[in-house]
Formats: sequence, structure tokens, C-alpha cells
Amino acid sequence: MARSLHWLMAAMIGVQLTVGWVAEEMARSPEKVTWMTGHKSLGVTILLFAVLRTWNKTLDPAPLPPAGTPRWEIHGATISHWTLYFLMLALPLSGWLVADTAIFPWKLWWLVPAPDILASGKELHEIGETLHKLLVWSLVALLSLHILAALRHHFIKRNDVLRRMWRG
Amino acid sequence: MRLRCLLLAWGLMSATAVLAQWHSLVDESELTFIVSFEGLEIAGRFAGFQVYTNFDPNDPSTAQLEVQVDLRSADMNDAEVNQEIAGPVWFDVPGQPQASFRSQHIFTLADGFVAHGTLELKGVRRPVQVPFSWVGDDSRSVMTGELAIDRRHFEIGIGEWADDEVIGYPVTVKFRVTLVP
Ligand code: HEM
Ligand code: HEM
Repeated sequence: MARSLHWLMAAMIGVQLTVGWVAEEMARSPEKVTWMTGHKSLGVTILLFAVLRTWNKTLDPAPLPPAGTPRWEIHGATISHWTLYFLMLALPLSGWLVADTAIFPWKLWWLVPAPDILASGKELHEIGETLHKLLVWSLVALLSLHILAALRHHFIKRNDVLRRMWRG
Repeated sequence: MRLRCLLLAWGLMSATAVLAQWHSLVDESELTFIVSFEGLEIAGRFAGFQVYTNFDPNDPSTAQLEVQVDLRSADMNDAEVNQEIAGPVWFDVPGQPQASFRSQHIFTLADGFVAHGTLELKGVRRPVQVPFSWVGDDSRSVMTGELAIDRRHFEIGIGEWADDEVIGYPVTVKFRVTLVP
């Protein structure tokens, strides 16, 4: 369960980052609106999965690190994994702030109207944009580290961390 | 020639004099437009518009109604979007900064009135019917109403916005106008 969620989310986040960047580059147009609505919808879907996953983590803890793992690696992994959980929740929330303070209404997957919680406003909107960008780059940085670490386990330390993540 | 000019001037003056019987109070009047955006409503307003009329609820048939809308005042509560809608794809404010409505005839309905007239917007003139209610007395009256227009008729939203994939064709125009003599 935890592992399929991990890979499902890894795929969704990859798509989400790409859609975000592509849409950001587009000039205002109907296509951009469609891409953005897709981005918002997938982002909220990721948020729902992230909540599920955080909850699942408390029920189904990750296996212990391989014997002989140095302390700094254990601490490093714990800290970066919790930060990843934090980002998976905070990033979509900041995106929601951007969308909610904009004047445009939107429907989740073109079906369910998103509640308009906050009034549209320039200040909060700009704060949201800054926050969303900042969190995007934090996620990208931490993910690079995360992927490098996973590859290091696999190819350099030659242990089964990536393999057990893949198949169990 | 001189006489004709004089007569024309006099005619114009008397026409505005008649129309000026009532005029709207800018701060107590609202003109909004509502359109669908991916199936949900999005609204904007014109802060700058004026209504002139010699309307008399007891004798509406002789009345004339005139509305002047300053399109530069179109406001959707977002500076970037306001700039966008002023452009040639939408209102084309530089090309045609004013929109207007002039009634030809006002009829009485069971529950109010309807002004048949011409709407001129973005250089296009088309007949429209504006239903409204009129409540008040000799010193102050409030006119309320709403009508639907099709944005395609006035070429509002052309080019890549010409279909209704994101922004619908029907536009609801609502007004609530406070008038004083
Ligand atoms: C190609 C990309 C990725 C690879 C190769 C990868 C690899 C791994 C591996 C091998 C583990 C196991 C660590 C262990 O057993 O202690 C792991 C755990 C984890 N991964 Fe990834 N991952 C990837 C993408 C992602 C993404 C996109 C996220 C989410 C933002 C993510 C979040 C996490 C978290 C939070 C854990 C810790 C699980 C826990 O202990 O609760 N990973 N990843
Ligand atoms: C894990 C989830 C998310 C990721 C990875 C993500 C990623 C991105 C990226 C890469 C961009 C474009 C580049 C940038 O602004 O730096 C972006 C922009 C944007 N995102 Fe997200 N996003 C996520 C969730 C959301 C959610 C849930 C919403 C709204 C409900 C949202 C709304 C937006 C908006 C409105 C923009 C345009 C920002 C602007 O105008 O500057 N995002 N996002």
C-alpha cells in the first residue's frame, strides 16, 4: 500500500510539475485555461493522496534501514522524508491559495465547483504565487537529493533499498 | 443655412432638456455583466455609466431612455484582466470607448416596462429589448432590470476566444440605477 502510493504520487508529481511549467509559459488563451484547470485538479488530487499517505504512514511505518547504516544517513533520511511529506501537503495548499484569490472560478476535473473561500485580492494572490514558486523549487531540490540518494543506495552502496521500494 | 443650424441646435437642446428630466447618480448605480467561465459565473462591472430619461411611469409610451457607458471603466477586479479586456479582442476601448443604448419606444408590461431600442457596442448597432422596473417618487426613482445579450453579435471575444469552450456566448447584463430629476 505505502509503496504503490509512493510510485503513484511520484508519477503524478512529475506530471504536475511539467503541466505547471508548460502552463506558466503560455500566453492567456483558452488552452492555458484548460491546462491550468488540469493543473489545479491534479494538484488537489495529489493533496488528497498526500493526506491519505501521511495518515497511512502512521499506520504502516516504513521498514528499518539496512543494518550498518550510519547515523547521519538515518537522520538525514528521516528529516528529508518528513520534509517531503510537508511539501506534498504545503505545495498544493499554496497553489490553492493562488487559485482561490484569483478572479477565475474553476471546477475540480471540470465537475465539482471549487469553493471560493477567500475573496479575490492582489496581495494574498501575490503572496500565494511567491510561496507556490518557493515550495516548487524546494520540492525540486529535495527530490533531486532524494533520487540521488536512492540511486546511491542502489549503485554505490549496492543495498536493496531501491529494490525493496520497487517490489518489496 | 444659418436658420437650419439654429433650428438644429434648438432641436438638440430641447431633446437633451427633455431627456435630462432624470439622470442617474453614479455612486448609487450599478451596471454589471455576468458570463460563464468553464461553466461557472464570472462577473464584471462598469463604474462609469450614465442614464438620462424623461420617463413617466404613468405615460411610458412618450418617454425616451438613453444610456452612455464608458467602456474604459470595465472592471473585473484584476488589473491584468482589465487591461486584457480593453484590448481589440474584447471591448476594443481605444477603437470605440463608448457604448450606448437609445430607446425607440417604451411599452408597459404586466410587471414593469420594456424599452425597445438600439444598443451600440464595439461599432455594432443592434436592436435590443431592455425590461425594467421603476420604483420611486418625483424626487428619486430606482430602475432595475436585466437582459441577456449574445457576445457574438457584438464581436466581443474574437480570435481564439471566438468559440464557447471556456467563455460562454450569453452575457447577462444587470442594472440598478438610482435617478434624480
Ligand atoms: C524517481 C523518483 C523517486 C525514486 C527513485 C524514489 C525512491 C525512493 C526510495 C528507494 C525510498 C525508500 C527509502 C527507505 O526505504 O527508507 C523512498 C522513500 C520515500 N520517497 Fe521516494 N522516490 C522517488 C520519488 C519520490 C517523490 C516524487 C516523492 C514525493 C514528493 C517521494 C517521497 C518519498 C518519501 C516521503 C519516502 C519515505 C517513505 C517513508 O519512510 O515514509 N519520492 N523513495
Ligand atoms: C504537488 C502539487 C503541485 C505542484 C508540484 C505544482 C507545481 C507548479 C509549477 C511548477 C508551477 C509553474 C511554475 C511556477 O509558478 O513556479 C505552478 C503554477 C501554478 N500552480 Fe501549481 N503545483 C501544485 C499544486 C497546485 C494546486 C493544488 C493548485 C490550485 C488549486 C495550483 C495552482 C497553480 C497556479 C494558479 C499556478 C500559476 C501561478 C502563477 O500564476 O504564478 N498548483 N504550479
